Amino acid sequence: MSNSENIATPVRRSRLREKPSSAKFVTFILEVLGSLLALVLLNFFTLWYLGNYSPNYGYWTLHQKWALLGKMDAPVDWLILGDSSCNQGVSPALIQEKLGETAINLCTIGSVTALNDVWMLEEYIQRFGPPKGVVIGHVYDVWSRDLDPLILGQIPRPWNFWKEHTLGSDLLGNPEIRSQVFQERYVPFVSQRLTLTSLLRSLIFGKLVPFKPRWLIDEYGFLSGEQAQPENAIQDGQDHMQFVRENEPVLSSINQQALERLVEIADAYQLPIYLMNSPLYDGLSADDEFQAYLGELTHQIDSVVGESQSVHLIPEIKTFPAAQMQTADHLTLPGAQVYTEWLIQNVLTR
Amino acid sequence: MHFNSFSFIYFLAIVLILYFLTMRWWKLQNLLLLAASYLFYSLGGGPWVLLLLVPTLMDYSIGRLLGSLADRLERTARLRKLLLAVSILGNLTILGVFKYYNFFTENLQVAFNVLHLSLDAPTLSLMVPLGISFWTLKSMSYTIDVYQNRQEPVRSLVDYALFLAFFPTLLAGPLDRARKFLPQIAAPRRLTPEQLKIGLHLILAGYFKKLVIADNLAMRIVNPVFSNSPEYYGLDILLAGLAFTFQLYGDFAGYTDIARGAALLLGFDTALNFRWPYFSFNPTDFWQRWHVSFSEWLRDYVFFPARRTMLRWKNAPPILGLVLPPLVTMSLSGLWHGASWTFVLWGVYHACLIILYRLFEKKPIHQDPWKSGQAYPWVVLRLALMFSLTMVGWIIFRSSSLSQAGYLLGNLSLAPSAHSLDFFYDLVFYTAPWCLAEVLTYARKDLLLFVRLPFAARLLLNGTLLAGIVLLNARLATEFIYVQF
Repeated sequence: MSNSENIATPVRRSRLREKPSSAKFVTFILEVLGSLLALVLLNFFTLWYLGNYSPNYGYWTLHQKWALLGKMDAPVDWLILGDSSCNQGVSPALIQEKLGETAINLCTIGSVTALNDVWMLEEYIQRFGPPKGVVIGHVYDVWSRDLDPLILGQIPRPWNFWKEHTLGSDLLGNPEIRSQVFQERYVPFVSQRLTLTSLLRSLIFGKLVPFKPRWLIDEYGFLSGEQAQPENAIQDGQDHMQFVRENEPVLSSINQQALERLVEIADAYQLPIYLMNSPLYDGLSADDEFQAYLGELTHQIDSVVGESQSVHLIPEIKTFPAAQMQTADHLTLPGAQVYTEWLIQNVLTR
Repeated sequence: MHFNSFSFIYFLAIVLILYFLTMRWWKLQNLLLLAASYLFYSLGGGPWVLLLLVPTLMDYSIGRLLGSLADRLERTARLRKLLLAVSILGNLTILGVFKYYNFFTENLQVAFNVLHLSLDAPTLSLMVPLGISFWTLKSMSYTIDVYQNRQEPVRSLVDYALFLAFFPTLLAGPLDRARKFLPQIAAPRRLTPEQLKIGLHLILAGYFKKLVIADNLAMRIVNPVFSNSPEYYGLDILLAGLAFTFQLYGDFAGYTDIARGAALLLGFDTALNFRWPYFSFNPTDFWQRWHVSFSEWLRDYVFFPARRTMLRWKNAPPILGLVLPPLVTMSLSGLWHGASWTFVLWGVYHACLIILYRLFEKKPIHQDPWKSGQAYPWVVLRLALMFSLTMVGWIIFRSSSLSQAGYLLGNLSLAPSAHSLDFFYDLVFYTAPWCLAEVLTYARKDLLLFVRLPFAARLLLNGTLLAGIVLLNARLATEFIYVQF
């Protein structure tokens, strides 16, 4: 058959009695099943690829940090939790060098709110017991954010893991949300199609080295901010100012519940937990409106954690010139060293 | 119900299950297929299924009458002619009223206005029934073939009704001929693993062509440029023209693949529509590769009769014999696509290409140019020239008006704009893998090359096609272009 003409022709009655080769039918069935299996395997290869090389910083960080927590085989003295400002702001290696105490940076992204801090702490305590102390660093605006439960689908833990964690069943108990989380988590061809399309395009046009990570975290979880971007930091500072002018300082419900749980854990284990402000661009910190906003927000946080003997709210802000920053709250490596040393002196050795 | 909807997938699955359950009783299978086809049509076309019964009953009866009348007797010969005329006029009337009436009255109105005459022709607010252009041609060709004794009149009304309404090919072809398709209906059929394999591959490839290639090109390049053309110029128009060239092919070839694949799963072999159309060396060659089932219909029922008429016209200047048959055929081809002057112009444009080719090419090439002894660069140049001419035709075809076609063709150049680079990337991204596949199958002269890959390679290919459909589909839920004709 040289082309697709005359593929099917009617047969004579006598030929109908011939049994078609059952082996060929088996091969056909195998081909159908094999094709579906190939699709599933491609899907899982994509999952693995995105977990390690995703261009989505947030998803990648969440995946890597939870994987790091999963791979830990020994406890540490200091557990560093928080968002991306803390991710590239606190160097555990420097803490170890200066204090002689071990630390790990499990900071992720602000979108997962303080609930992710609670979950990581719960997971850590379940495996190793409480550490010597916990530092939680967030950019001020994270405290106002709500949580999209779909993002929790990116946490690389066995299905249903959220049932073991605070508010997990409340957030993901709804079957509709759970099915979306399932898609988000296991079917990247659907949930991350834009990311994947963009990756494929970059690959085809030679703009992507396929197995080269975009970011690197060290063995202690620290992500080093390479190039200073002062203009970006100044612009970002202005955006923050606009945010402050346009929004009321409100502690979101999910963050309030997370803080309440942190208080419970801290008091139960006599575990010191330090709530830190992220490093900030000095131009932003100097602004009166910003200070007023921050003051009110700090007051609201304090009203939740203030009575705890173990949770310590650190109101001070360590500020930096734009030349040491990438955005108004993300440091370069030299800035991170300064911030970590400040943290050691002012918090860890209190 | 359209092929690119989940409801069609469920529908096909249910029909296949029932079909396989009745495998021992092929006449029952025919009834099942007929019922399924009418259901399929009524789900998409509503009451138009009743309209479909008109040519079914009319041409079945005329076919039977033609078969019962000997054509050698003068009296019966006249009656046969009359019956044929009734069939042709009946089908053309259905087509004319539902598809062309408003077009003609509007243009008549314009003509009267130009002549300062008054005409108050009423317009009809009728929707064009789905697939009308296809099933009227199919039905007409049956009676013509019976009249010309090229086709035995079909005995079973169910068989004839199924021939017209067979759901995989009902809405947009391929245009099967009665003499090839009716024998398949009127005999038991056997399903082989090979058929199933090819059928599924065609369906998968068809969905990929439509959902991934055609829809994305439409959404990202073609629609923005053609729906807002004054904002675009130069290279953007060229890229949009190229994108539509591939969009249309992907859309229609995708439809055809799904139709042929679904038919194969039911044990039917339907007509071929595409043989690497963009590897054409000249206009005649193009029409032997593009929408083949329709081109052959036109050739047999319009072009050849027109040429025979010219040959019988003793004193006709030779140039008329060269010009008129292609001009009439291609103009009708254009009009068949839609009631619009852009389609007519597109048809005339292709007629001009064919006429010029016949005028200037002293020895028309009938053999494979790659093996004709011509230098390869020359062959490639001819391919590129024909491809470019085809693309120009598609710009006319896609334009919403003659003035838009004029604007687009008048502003086509290599001058880039801010959009050009994005358009270029999109064009390459969505067409490159398909182009590669076309080159490979063309080089091996095997449309089913990929079905013959080793088992493991087929699994990987099928998995990739499935992944591509899930991941890259444009999520537009657009109709197939040819279904609208």
